Amino acid sequence: MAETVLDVEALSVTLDTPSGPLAAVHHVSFALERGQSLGIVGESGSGKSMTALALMNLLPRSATRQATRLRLLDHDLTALPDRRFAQDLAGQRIGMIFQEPMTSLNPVYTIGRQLTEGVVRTGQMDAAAARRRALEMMARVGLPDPATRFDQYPHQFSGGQRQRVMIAMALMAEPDVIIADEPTTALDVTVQAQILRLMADLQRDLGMAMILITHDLGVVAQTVDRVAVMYAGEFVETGQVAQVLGAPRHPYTAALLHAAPEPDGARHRLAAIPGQIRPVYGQRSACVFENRCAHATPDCRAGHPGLRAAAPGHAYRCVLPPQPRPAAVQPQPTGQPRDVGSAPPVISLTGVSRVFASRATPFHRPHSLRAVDRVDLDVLPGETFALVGESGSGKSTLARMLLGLDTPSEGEIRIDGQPVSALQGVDRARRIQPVFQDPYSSLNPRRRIGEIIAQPMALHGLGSAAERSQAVEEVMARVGLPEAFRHNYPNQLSGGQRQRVAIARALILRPEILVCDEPTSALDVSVQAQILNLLADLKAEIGLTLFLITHDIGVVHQIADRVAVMQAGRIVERGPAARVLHSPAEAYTRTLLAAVPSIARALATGAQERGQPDGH
Amino acid sequence: MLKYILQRVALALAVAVVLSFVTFLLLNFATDPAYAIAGEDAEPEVVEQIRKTYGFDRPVLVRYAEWAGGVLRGDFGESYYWNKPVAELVADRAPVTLLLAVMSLSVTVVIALPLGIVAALNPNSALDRMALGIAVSAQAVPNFWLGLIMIILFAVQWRLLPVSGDATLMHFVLPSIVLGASSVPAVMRLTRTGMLDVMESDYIRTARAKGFRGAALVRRHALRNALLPVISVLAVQLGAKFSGSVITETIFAINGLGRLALESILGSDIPTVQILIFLFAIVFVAMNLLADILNAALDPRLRIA
Amino acid sequence: MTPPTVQTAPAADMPDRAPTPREILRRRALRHRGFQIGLSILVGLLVVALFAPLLAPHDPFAQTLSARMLPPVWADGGRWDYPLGTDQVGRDYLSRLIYGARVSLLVGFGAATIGMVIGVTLGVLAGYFGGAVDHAVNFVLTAQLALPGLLLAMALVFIIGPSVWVVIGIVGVLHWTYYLVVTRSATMRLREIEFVAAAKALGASRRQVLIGEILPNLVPQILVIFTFELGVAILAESALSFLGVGIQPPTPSWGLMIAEGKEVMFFRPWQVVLPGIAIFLLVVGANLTGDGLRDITAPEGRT
Repeated sequence: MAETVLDVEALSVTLDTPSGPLAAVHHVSFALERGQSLGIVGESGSGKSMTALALMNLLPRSATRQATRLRLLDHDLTALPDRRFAQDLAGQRIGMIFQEPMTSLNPVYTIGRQLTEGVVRTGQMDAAAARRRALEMMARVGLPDPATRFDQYPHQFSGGQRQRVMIAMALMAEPDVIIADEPTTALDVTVQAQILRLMADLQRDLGMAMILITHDLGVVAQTVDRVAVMYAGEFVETGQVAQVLGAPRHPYTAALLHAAPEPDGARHRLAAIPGQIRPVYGQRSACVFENRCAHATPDCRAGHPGLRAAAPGHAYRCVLPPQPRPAAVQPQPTGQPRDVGSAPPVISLTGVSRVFASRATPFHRPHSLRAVDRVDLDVLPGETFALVGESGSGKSTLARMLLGLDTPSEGEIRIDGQPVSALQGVDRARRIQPVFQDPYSSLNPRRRIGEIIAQPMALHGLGSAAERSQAVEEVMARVGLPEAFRHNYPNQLSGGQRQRVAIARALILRPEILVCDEPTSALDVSVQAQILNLLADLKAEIGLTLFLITHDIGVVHQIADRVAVMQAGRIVERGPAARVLHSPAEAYTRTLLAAVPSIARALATGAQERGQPDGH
Repeated sequence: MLKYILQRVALALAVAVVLSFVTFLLLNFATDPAYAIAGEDAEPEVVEQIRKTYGFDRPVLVRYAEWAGGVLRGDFGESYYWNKPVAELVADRAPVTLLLAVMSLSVTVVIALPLGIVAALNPNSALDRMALGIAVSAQAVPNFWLGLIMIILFAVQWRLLPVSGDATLMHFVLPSIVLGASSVPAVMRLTRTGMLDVMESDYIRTARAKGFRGAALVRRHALRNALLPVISVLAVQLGAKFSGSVITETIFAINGLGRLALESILGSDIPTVQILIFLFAIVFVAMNLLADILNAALDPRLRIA
Repeated sequence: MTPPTVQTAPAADMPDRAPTPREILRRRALRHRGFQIGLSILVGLLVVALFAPLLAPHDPFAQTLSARMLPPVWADGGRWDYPLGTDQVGRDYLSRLIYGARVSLLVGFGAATIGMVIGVTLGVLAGYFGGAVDHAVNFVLTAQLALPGLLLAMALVFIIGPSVWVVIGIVGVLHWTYYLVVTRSATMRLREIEFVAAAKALGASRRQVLIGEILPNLVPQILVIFTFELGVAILAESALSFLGVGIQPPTPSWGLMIAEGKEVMFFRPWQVVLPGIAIFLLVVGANLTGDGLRDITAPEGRT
């Protein structure tokens, strides 16, 4: 049996908050052997990042850490003063990679200095040796021309390159354990695939132990051996990837799997998890998931469930008998795209370009950027049309032009046969309405929910006060918001609820078209499922046309009828969603699809590669 | 970097030209300089005569061009009040004010920077609260009053320092403290918030993950980032010291540009006031330019576009 | 059309009764000691200024030759009918201090309001329209910042002729840059925030966006600056009056009183000390209120 490098027993982190001590991490236990990798997966607020920070002695001032055992190699971290930890272990025996590559490097120092200072500080290497090692690591993580780039500054690197620098930096001292906290969340999917592959390779080649923290089940499935599902501060299920994701025993794991849209397989209605994580203050006297669990019984409230073994190496915290897989997989209501082919398009773009040009000044040569490049596009009434692309592909610029927030430099956009430029104010608003990405910033924090939803009517002086109130009530019911919310402010609602408010506001003028710009990318998987289901319902039942802009292939697969793939301002491929996703014609589409982490694919290949999980 | 600096220089020059024009117009439209020279109750014929002699009857643009041309050649005109070339007056008085400005800025730096840094490194501690208290107080104290109180205490009560005058360096101690104190709140607050922001940044977390703690963390990873914005403010404050010297020099009877300005205003000496306002503005513009260049030199994001 | 109600999963349970923005403000205000102290001072002095005729024991202009140069009550020879003594011409010092609050507050509020109108207008326009408008405003800002404020104010007040209204006007016109810098960058940020884009896409006119969406979100910051500029203007007035190019005698102004007291400060230091403390208190009150407002209205992190 391999050497255990990290041994954690009953790790807890308590945050001192105005409402009392909050148990952000509760009795987390695991052991990691050399060469092993553990994925910690959970939604926001689950405590997964706190766990990582606790291991690195990086907790905020308001947090305290307790553990019955916390050993890194032969060091007892519970007894080790922070000074000693920083001196002897941090960055050397245990390293960390963070989520935000754009801000995690110091902007005023060179990459070379930041790479080498750790090993030089501890005297492991002299400056020359450190430089050689840094160049070697830069090459190893795939940064071209290390000798030149060594002396460059972070702002001269792209996001993906900076994350490679971060990886190289974490590996400089050949640590025994490496912790990666959402290392690819800020990156495009194709870059994410490269980075994940790189990390998996390095981990195997260098024989490190790795902890990968992520919200993405697909990322976990394809990158690590073992997985821990975290909820409300505790590990609710742990085991081999194939065990936990293939045969989940905890209702939360199962629910999470059913809430995530999978790009492979048949389309079915997502099983949204109602409610939201409830923070736990003080003692745990019941199952933490009980309030959202479809199978909850009075037993669940009787006590805090202990860990139960499902199989060797596979444990979960639930008192219920193993649930059968939910047989009731509902079909997605699609609401057949009406009259496809015969009806005139509701949106039609001909040769649309948007060029951003800077004017020439005595100090600048003029330069121009074609964000959108001669796009032709028709969207038919009642269909869901998805525009897919990575960051910088021009998809959001296109959306802004559709909404009249920007005007094309060339070409024409018509809505209902009329040029957008000719549609003013209320005419445009009655036809096409937006739903934006971030439900935190798309609602004016100083207005009440009722006012926000009624705003389109108020802006155009439509209806009496009573009529507006009536309309608000109707539309809130339609999007599943309790009427009582109308007197609340946005900050009192959860992310999913706010996105429902944004949708309600968009619907109140009964437009034909909703332009949804990344409507779920700021939301957790379980909440995303709620919103995707709502959009699908709205489309099926009131015949809305949805123009969906997204980078997420899973979302496309879930609700799109037709799809166009955008790259560098151009549409490279288009067609029915099923055809494009399953038999893409273009190389770029294939790359994009291959890069999407898929649980099913990972489990299938994993079973071949790894053989059966070796229980011990 | 060169492009950036050229751009800054061009902007500074444009601002200087506009400032010269504004200063000239403000003071020439607001008053009739002929009356100022002749006195309020002078005979109209006398005033008319003066107007002719000094050329005030010509179009304002012509006079501006003449004035600006003179300024460029170092000819600042004649003072009505002192009956001397303004350039001579300025040259006599400038060194004293320069010394006062530099000394008082040093006082600011010595107090504000360490206080701001220490406060930021120990947020909500007693030290932090004390620093905040100093900032709030220094911001609310009328500068001239502080000067008088200092004179009463240090010069009269305890007889530690001279009451007024500019004969020795000791004469500049109290004025520098008084003038320096006025910039402490702004500089300290900026240092503190800058340092706080940096200490909470992702790259400091990265450095901590690499094992940097305490003084090494601050020195090697936080200081440069936190002090970059402070440079600009220090330059601005140095410029502001010249304007601030009006009060300090008056109270401490220092024969510098500030006192010259007050005396010239009270003596309706438009040419001198005009030049002084313009000069102070130019010093400010130059200081800003210097800060921009320093920033560019220290911040690779500006240096390497 | 009246479509059937969609059967969707409800949007989950009610949130725990999270506080409304106003409740958050009140809660933070109740915890903020500095804010409470500052506001008390400010409101207290405002009350003193408003009710000066009722509070002042004497006419602030009345010269009582028999009671010249009286010391305050705690010093030898002090009298209770002149609690803070009298000046060289026998005017009651306490009454003059009380009336002096009127001048300071009038100049403070007047000038800070003028500055606000100029600064916020320019800031919002520059931030919202960007481009050439922004460049132009930025140029004006750079020029204004470079001008030596106090010196220019002195010269202009002296030339135009000193009076309370001239002082208010000049000080106000010279103190708008802080408003501009803050509202400009805040507007730039707000302009890119999605609720503004949403309002535009909903067909809101430019005016509706500026007044309905952007301006309300600037109010907390504008208020914070207003309290600081209040203090700055009060200090500027006192400096001008002290130098003799501000409020003119016999109007009681704290700065002027210090100038008058300066002549005798080695013998009767309280004539300098007392008005200085009054200015200090008022400005500290304004600044503590401003600091407090900033903390209280700081945007919350996402929860």
